[in-house]
Amino acid sequence: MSRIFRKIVGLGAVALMSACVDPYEVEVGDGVQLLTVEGMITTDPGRHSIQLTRSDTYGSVFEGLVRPVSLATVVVRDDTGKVTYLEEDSEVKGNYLTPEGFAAIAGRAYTLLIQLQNGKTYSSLPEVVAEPVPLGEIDYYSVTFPVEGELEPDSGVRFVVDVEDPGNINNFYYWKTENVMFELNASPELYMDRETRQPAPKDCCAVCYLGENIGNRSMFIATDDDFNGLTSRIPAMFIPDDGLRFITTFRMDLRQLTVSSEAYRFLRLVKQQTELSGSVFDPPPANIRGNMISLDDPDEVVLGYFMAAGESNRRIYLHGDELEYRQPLSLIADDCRVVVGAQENPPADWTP
Amino acid sequence: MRRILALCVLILLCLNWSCAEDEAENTFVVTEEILHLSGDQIRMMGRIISNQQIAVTDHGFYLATDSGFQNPIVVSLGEKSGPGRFVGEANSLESGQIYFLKSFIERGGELSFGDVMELETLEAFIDSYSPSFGSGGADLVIVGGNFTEETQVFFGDQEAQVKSIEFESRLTVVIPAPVDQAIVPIKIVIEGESYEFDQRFEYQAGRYSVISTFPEEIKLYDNVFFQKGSGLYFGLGTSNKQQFLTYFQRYDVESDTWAKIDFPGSSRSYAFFTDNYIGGGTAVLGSNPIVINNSFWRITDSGFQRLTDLPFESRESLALEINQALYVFGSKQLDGPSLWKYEPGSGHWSQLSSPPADFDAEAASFTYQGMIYLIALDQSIWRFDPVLESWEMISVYPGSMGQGYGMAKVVGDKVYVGLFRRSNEMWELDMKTLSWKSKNPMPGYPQSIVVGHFVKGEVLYIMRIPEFTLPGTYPMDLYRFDPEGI
Repeated sequence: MSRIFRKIVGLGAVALMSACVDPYEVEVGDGVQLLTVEGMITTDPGRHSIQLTRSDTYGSVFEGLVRPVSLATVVVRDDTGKVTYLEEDSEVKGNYLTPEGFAAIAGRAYTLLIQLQNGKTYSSLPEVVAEPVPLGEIDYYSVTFPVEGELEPDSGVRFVVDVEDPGNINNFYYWKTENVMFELNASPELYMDRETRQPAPKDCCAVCYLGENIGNRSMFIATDDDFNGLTSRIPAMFIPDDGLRFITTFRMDLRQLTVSSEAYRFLRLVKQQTELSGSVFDPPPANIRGNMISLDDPDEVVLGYFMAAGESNRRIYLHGDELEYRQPLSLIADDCRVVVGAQENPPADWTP
Repeated sequence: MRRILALCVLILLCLNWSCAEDEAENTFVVTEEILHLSGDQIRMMGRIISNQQIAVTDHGFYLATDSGFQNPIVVSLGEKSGPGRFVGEANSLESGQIYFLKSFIERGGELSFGDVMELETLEAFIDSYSPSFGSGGADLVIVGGNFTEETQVFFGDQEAQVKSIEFESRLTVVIPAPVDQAIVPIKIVIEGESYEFDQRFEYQAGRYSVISTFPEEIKLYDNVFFQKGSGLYFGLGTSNKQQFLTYFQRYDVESDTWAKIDFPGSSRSYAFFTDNYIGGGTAVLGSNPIVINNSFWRITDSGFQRLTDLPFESRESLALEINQALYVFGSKQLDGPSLWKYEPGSGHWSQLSSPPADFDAEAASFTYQGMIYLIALDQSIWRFDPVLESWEMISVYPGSMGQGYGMAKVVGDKVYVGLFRRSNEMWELDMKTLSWKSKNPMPGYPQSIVVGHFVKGEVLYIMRIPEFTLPGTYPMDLYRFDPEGI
């Protein structure tokens, strides 16, 4: 009897203890709406963009929304006093573009000046444009990553560039991609009517062209501390394989940017912070100082960095059958045009 | 025993604490960066670095033209508590001058300085300006760099008012009124240095001057005008749309006199006319019913000669002469475009294929190098080749068509087009380049109608009268228009 009683008491105690567990609500304080500057100008002629936004509370869009900063006066001034006015993009608010054909000049120092609608003025520290370093050979190969519990590993394509580093100066490299596009292969002949669940093959279209903005989530940076004046092969980009990108033809523009030491330091810190994995060896999270400063209140925190870089770039076309390993085909049993952003005809500059 | 042990531990702890030394205060100031440097302005950044929450009574920068800072410009930013960045600004520097810069802090009456930086202020430069053509009072933007507050801008010898200087690189000035020249150099003076653009500024030209007034106090509408030698003829049509005029008034440009010239034919409104022919029009006032006057007259040196009546009904037709033939375009009596040709040798009228647009008296027209040019109401300019009887659209009129009935006159290779109803605009078309240039607008009410327009030598003679809907009496002034006048 006493044993039974003890068990009941024990179970009751356990039940009471479990009832004491309260869900932990993470309360994030209201975020300060800090001006955030992101963008760069390079030696490559074109329209270079500077994006202005306001930070907000961390969390979902219901907590706070990162808003563009519109109707600002944005200029870039070089060390001779030549001023270039940037024009706000009519389609993307808060995105300010240099005039067509603008190119920074290597060796010159550039300052970004921003005047907001409320009269507040911000300036960047002068950024000296480094000489662009020509892009060497670009090699690419597939790489795989085993995934626990999965038969197929994750994979992607790694791009490696030959950097012929000039020996006379300390160089800091940053690689980015743009104009990523690939042939999107679909099987419209396998289309099934969703209501009748009967085959209803479509005549069109099996091949479309889809542009993407990928590859820049990870940062590919390097300093020539270890290879000053030598030729070295450096991983410059990684594009994950989603089973669609590398079926037939994939293209991208690889930009090799030579940035200032201060910009490199900023990028390295951002890379560290964005690649925190929760390991005990991770660096502690920290507020990364950029190079923007409020002229009205120098103690005001302004996020972001204005970069001025030397640029060399090259367009690469990659054919899927050249890769050793590709993800199993992701089947699109429909007209490829149903995929958001896909276009039937290749753009005029598609020359594989 | 325990008590002794506890006491020993306590003493040891006290000894440990007493061993902790206070960290010595370490405060200094650095001259960190030059954020902005131009011809007369500098914006610089310094930083107070300290391991304490210090307060300074003053901080800022010293600027001097010598490294010993004998007579420094002191940029004082006042009190500051705590370490951190500070930004100072100095103006009124000399351009192209070497300066030395250092930051400072003052604590307890003691000054500490940061490191010294050497800098050279920039020289001004000019790049471009726009527009390169305009009239006095309008804004003009000059792009360059390192403009100072004292920047002066001159159009020839006329100083322009500087409205604003943005980022020391964009000057907005008010174009001063022209004095005597239509094309002037633009000169910028900064601290005694002068900078001049290679490209000269051109004023919008065109001077209108009243040379005479119609000798009667009437308002002449729907009239005929033509030119014989130095005589400018205005007549027929109606006075105030109430009474036909049966005569012409001739103004002699050379003698500056008016004379009344009788017309032997019947009165009419809305007739077509050239310097040699008058024809068609309405024979009675009002439009209910419209009665057409089919008589056709030749204007001779000695008077008027009646010719065979028109083979078609003409009201508000447009007439032009070229290659000794008369071309009559359109008629309000007809639906759609039409074109008639009259050959004076045979006295024969022939109807040609229809023009591409409905041209009539509402269109402005001119002849140039054997071709007829007509400006349609959609602003397109058509060229008609009378030999090949072919049409080609060659340009678009950039001005306002108002309500039509404008004028076009040729002087050399330039054509002066404009003065459509409800528009004072005048434009110059260069027939060699087919480029347009605006001229000064004609003074007077925009709601005016051209009574007559002529060309003699290099100048035009124009008479306009306010619309019938404007009540009151208005003098019918005859203007002399010098296209290049200022």
